[in-house]
Order: sequence, then C-alpha cells, then structure tokens
Amino acid sequence: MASAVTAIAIACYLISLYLRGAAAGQYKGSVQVISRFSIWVGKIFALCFWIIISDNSGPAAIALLPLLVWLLGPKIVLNRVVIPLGSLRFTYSMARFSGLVELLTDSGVAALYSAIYLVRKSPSPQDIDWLTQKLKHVRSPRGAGVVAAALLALLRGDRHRARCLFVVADSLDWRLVPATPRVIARNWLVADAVERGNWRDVIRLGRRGRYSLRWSYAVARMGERLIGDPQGCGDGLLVMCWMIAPRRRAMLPMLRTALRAPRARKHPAIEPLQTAIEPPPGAADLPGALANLAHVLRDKYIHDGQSFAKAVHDLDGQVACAKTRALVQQRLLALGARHDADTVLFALRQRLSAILSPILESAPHLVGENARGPILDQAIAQARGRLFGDIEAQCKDYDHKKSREITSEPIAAWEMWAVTRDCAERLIGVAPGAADALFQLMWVRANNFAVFQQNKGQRHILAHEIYSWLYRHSQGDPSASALLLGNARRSAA
Amino acid sequence: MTEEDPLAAWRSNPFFVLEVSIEASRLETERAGQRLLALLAVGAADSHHYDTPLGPATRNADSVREALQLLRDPNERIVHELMANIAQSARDRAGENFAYLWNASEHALGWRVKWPRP
Repeated sequence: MASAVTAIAIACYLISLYLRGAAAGQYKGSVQVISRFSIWVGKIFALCFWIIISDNSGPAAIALLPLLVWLLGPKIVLNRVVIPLGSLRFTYSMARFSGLVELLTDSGVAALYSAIYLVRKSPSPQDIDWLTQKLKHVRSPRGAGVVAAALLALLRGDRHRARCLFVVADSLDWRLVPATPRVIARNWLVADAVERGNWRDVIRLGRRGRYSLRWSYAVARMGERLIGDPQGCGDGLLVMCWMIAPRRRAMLPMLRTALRAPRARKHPAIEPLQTAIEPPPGAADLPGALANLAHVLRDKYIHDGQSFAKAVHDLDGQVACAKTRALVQQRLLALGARHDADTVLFALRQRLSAILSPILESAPHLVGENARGPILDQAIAQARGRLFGDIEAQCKDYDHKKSREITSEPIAAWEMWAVTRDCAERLIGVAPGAADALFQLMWVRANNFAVFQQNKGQRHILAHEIYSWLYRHSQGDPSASALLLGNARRSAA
Repeated sequence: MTEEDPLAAWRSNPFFVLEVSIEASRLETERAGQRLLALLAVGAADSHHYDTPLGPATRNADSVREALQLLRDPNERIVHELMANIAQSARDRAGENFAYLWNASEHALGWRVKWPRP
C-alpha cells in the first residue's frame, strides 16, 4: 500500500510540474493549451491519493480534506471563501498556489482573482498600485492577465483602455482563456453596451451561437424585445433565459420592461433594427434640421445609417439654402463683421463636422452607404485623419521598441496592442474603403513587433493574436496574407 | 466631448452657457456673464447648472469666460447663433428614452466599485 501511495504521489507531482511548465509557456516555446483531460487526470489522482490516505488514517484524511476541496474546486473556494473573507494579499497567495488545477493554465490568474477581490470591495489606491506592480511581473499573461489588466484600468478610471483590453480578451481563442476571465470580459462588455444604450452591440456580443454565455445571452434576448428586433423571442423563452442566467434579482427590472415591450413581427425582407425607429421627418428650416440631428445623435445607437444620413442631409440643405444665407448676411451687417456669408457658413459646417466626427468613431454604423453631403464627408475625413494619425504614432512606437530592443512589461505590450487594434477597428468602421491603406500602414510594423515579442519576450499568445488579426484584414495582399498565416500557425504550433 | 455624451460640445454653446437669447445685445451678454461669474465665485447652488434644448449641462468660471470671449467676435457669434437656434421639438424629446437604460450595471455584475463615468 505504501508503495502505491508513493507512486501516486510521484505521479501527481510530475503532472503538477508538467502543468506548471505548460502554464508558463515554456514547453517547445509555443502556445501551450492544457486539455480538460489533463486537468481531470490530475484531479482524479489527487482524489485517489486522498481516498488511500483515508483508508489508512482517518484523522490525516480529515486534516487533508480542505486541501482536497481546494485542489478539486479552486474557483469555488476562491469566489465563495477566500475573496469574501480574505485580504488582497491572501487572495493573491491563495490563487497563486492553487496547485494542480485549471487555474494554472494562465499565469495571470492570481492577479485576476486579486482584481476581482478589489472590484468587490472598496480598494485603496495603495492596493491598486500593489496589484499593478504584481501584474507587471507576470511573465506570460494570457486571457486572465489581460482581464486583470482591464479591471485595474477600470479601477484607475480608464474606461476606454479597459474596454480595449476586454475586447481583446473576448476575441481570443477560447482554449487560451479560462472560463472565469472569459465570462468577466463578455459580461462587462455587454453591461457597458447596455449602459450606453448600444443594443446592437449587446445583441452582437450576447448571441454568439455555441460561444454564448448565459448572462450575456439573456440580456441580448431582452435587448431584442426592448428595441423591437424582429428576431425577438416570445415571453416563455425570455423568462427561461432569465431563469437559467445568474444574478436574476438584478436583472428582474430589465426582464419586466422587456416583457412589457411588444414582440416585433418577423419580416424577412427588412433588415433587423431598421424598423425600430422611423427616420426623422424632413426639416422645414435650420432650427428644425438641428433639432432632428440632435434627436438622432442622442439615440445614436438606436438609429441606423439611413435616418442619420437623412438628418445630416437635411441639415446640409438648410445650411446651403438662400434663407440661411440671407439671415447670415443680415447678421453680418448688424454686427459689423468683416467676413462674408460663405466664410461663416463654412465655419458652421466645420463646427457641425467636429461634433459628428467623434460620434462616428464610437458608432460607425451611422456612416452607412447612402449619398453623403459636405458635413458628413468632412466629419468622416476628420475621424479618418485622426485615427490614421493615432495608428501611425503607435506603429512608430512599435518600431522604436523593436529597434532599441526595448522589452516592455508583458502586460504593457498587451495594452499597446489592444489600443492599436481598437483604433484600427474604429477606422475600418468609419471608412471601410481605407482598410487596405490601413493594412499597408501597419502590417509590417505590427508583424515585426509580434515577431519581436515572440522571439525576445516569449510572448507567443500576444504574437498569435497580432498575426491572426492582421491575417483577417490581409485579403488585399496575398503575399502578406501567406506570410501572416505562416506566422500565426508557427506561433500556435 | 465624450463618447457617452455626444451632445456635450453642443451644450457648451456660449448662448446656452450664459443663458441669454440669441438676440441679446453685446451689453446684455456681458452683464449675464459677469453676473454668473459673481454667482460662481460665491458658490451659489444653482450657478453650476444650466438647461439647454439638448438637456442639462454644467459650467464653471472658465467656461463662462470662454463663452464671453467667443461672443465678442462677431463672426464666431453668428456661427453660435445659428447653432443655438434649435427648434422646440428637441426640448420636447430631451427626456425621451427609446430603450431601457441601465445606470447600475456594476450591481448587475455583483461589483461594489463604481465604474468611471463622465
């Protein structure tokens, strides 16, 4: 019996070593993914070990029982016991030394659970700084590390950076992101979109087929009813979605509101959401056109490109009409101004474009494919110029880091890429025609940056994410596409 | 301007900030500005908030000074006059919420920390 126990103990230890090594990405220098099978083999070994001990020594087995529970269900222990009762440093230590469990699939897990501790409590700035320093020293952050960085960004008040990081974590391969950070990322993105009234994003994020998650799926189904989407489900299914989702009490008011909303009739000939709102009526004068535009902008996520384009087109017409010109000339005379009417109207168009430009960046669906007037064209050009400028500056930063061989902290490299990716996606949304120019601007630099991260920093998952994103946008350049595909495959081999 | 509040820049139109009509004379705008600066200096409760056809907004001494500066330039003033002249329908719709708005997302996710908002 003693030899059997010893053999099982050695096997457990060896598996533990293997999993720890794989978690740090040290094996073969590639993206290592621990299968659920390996995890369950480890758990079964631990359970066998405990059963053998309990046969021989009851008190020892009782003493080891908490350890066994911790090994078999670390997430439950951390979420239900450690985080509610412990301190920040205790949570970090417990998560870090969780042993032979799935937590080891990601070396940013300790930081993630510590960040969860912080968002559930009222953290001091010292706590946030302490965890930020810990996260900087994580050698190979994966999904959990990225989500921990996003939570810390939120705690520091940087919601934009947090959103960029959550988007990256949500789009990573599911095998690279454990369930807990995946759920946090998706749920936060959905809650953020709900808060901004961006129901299009809620539905896009929540309804992901086999990759759907309970809470975000339920919110998406409620969202469909709330905005009158033809895909909206009936009351029974809606209640069922709510029942299987977590945090039902908090969602109850939304469920009630959704149930009160009438179910839209299915009409396959009409695109979803386009029936949600009628376009604003045509404006009779400049004040009316401005009121229409303000109305569309306030509910920018509800309106589609058609109603937005109509509102801006009406405004274009009113700015250019003889009545407005006469009014401007009259005011110029009354105030004794030196400029002519054209200059004032040009300034008015510029002012309106400056208001519209950042709105288009955040809600690119408003751009649409309809005919555009000078104000909308100018707004798109401003957004495009600003985003190209941002991306160029970030690419220069990549070049600088690579040429000087500056290996920044792993999590800082993730943050850099998350912000660049966000800018690039907004640019493609605002100006789809600029996708090829954008790819040519960034692919060589971003690819070289990824190679540098992979070779010098052993950051294979970050490199894989960059190659994959670039590959998805490389359709206009076959040679670059082949190279990126090869890089992506090698990084994930 | 922030992503969450697309109309913030528009709400900071000098006529809205100073709460004067677009037909106000230069003397009237100067008086309104000085009155607001005095109220802000003594910390009067209502002086930090103002209503616009696009919804409520906040101001401080700097925004009042900036508004006064803009209205002293006749060309700038005409542009702002045109932009401040918004039909009544915008005011009527200011309180409308087409969809369900959720202002306590943190609680729905079980968080205690408030998310940063503008």
